[in-house]
Amino acid sequence: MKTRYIIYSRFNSDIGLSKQFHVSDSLSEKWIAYRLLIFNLYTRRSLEAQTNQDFLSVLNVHPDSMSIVEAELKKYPPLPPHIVFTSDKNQTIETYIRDADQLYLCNLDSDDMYHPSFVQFLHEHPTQKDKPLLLLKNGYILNTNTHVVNHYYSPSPPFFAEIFDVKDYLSYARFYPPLAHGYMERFNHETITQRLFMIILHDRNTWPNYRREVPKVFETNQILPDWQEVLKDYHLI
Amino acid sequence: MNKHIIIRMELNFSPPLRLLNFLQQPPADTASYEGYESDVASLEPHFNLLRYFILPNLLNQTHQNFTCFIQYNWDIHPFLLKFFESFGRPPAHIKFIASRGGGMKGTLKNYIDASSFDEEDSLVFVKWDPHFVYGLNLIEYLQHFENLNGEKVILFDNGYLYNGTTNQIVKQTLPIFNGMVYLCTPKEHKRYFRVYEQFFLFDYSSFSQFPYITTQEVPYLFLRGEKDFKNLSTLNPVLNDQLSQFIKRV
Repeated sequence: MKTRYIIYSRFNSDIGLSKQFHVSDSLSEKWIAYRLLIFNLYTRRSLEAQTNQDFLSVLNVHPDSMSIVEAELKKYPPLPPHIVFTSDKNQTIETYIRDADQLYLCNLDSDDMYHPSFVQFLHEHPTQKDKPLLLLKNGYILNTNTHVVNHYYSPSPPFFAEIFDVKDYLSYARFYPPLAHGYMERFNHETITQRLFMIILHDRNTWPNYRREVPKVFETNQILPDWQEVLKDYHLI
Repeated sequence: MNKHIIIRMELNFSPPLRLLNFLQQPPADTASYEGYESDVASLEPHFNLLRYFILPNLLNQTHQNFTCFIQYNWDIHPFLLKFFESFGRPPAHIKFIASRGGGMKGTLKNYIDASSFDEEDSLVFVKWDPHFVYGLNLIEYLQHFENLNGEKVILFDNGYLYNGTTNQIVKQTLPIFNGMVYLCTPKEHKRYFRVYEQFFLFDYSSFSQFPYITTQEVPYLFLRGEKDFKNLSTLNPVLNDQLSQFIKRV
């Protein structure tokens, strides 16, 4: 059975059922320049550090801003061929999975990180037929201003992998409008307890409530005794 | 692979508030309730729709191999019971369910789970607005329909409009969006559809990304104008003839 692994990021496109995550400014040069800076510092680093490079990273770009994104990307080293910014995610995904039997469709916000072992974990993890969704509820959170890192837990985080038969994905799943990640726990899922993600706190996170949620990372003292090992693991030091 | 046609309809009317309050209080004398008769009468057009259009349209379909779930507001329960006392209960494949304790979504989930459908069977959900009736060939059409090009949605494009106020039927020129048919498998329903419908209305705008087909083979009639609907015997022969493709006269 041939399996394809896709890490999908909504860079500045996709309107879901609720518009809570639609960022109104996201087509501007300023927003794009900043987010691509964060992407290159953190998210791209985690993608290129994956111990298993058998995946496609798809970042969905609003068509009206594609030229801005392309111009801005030229300021950075060229992307490897399996990290793609596209304004036609459907075409990109469907071309990639066409000859496969199974698809792992993972979500990653374009300013966050997966642990370098994440893709390898997907390759090795035995799945359960009635739980075709892996929800990663445990991870880390890093404040890039204070360099404080802490554990992070969410019951329905933006870190998950949906597992499809390709024929099912093509026949129905691809048509359903995307959901805010808070709804994902309503699907039958398996909870992954390994800490395989890191949320990156920077100056312009779209979720405004981190300061209330994780106040300690906004202080100056490190919280975890192994914080240096954690940052090394994620290739951040 | 078997096909299972499931009609889902919601009756969204309630008694006037003071009637509702009256019913919820200990038994009282209706003579002391000024406006009781008119408040009860305000429900009549809705029950007339049910009696003269919706139920005949369902019962006179040329094919009866479907299950219909009609969700009603619990507040009208005593009036619905009176309706059944007067006109009889519908057959078992037309089920009235109250909008509480799970309502339509919970009932459908339990029905599909309990029915042990094969996961690749075809579920044909007909989202039916109670102000519409369809040609009597609807179920037959759905039974024979094959989505050869992967269509997930059927829209109906051969529409008429009956205005109960002016007593006229005219051709409707736009495809219907209030009623539509969605095709899926029990596998898709279990994994995706029932989660999505927990928290949003599956209306046409939600389905706009799904591949669809429009058909002229099944006419529909939009019943507009909350008038009597019952004086069918006074309608002119042309109107009667037009209506006969949707309801048979007994």
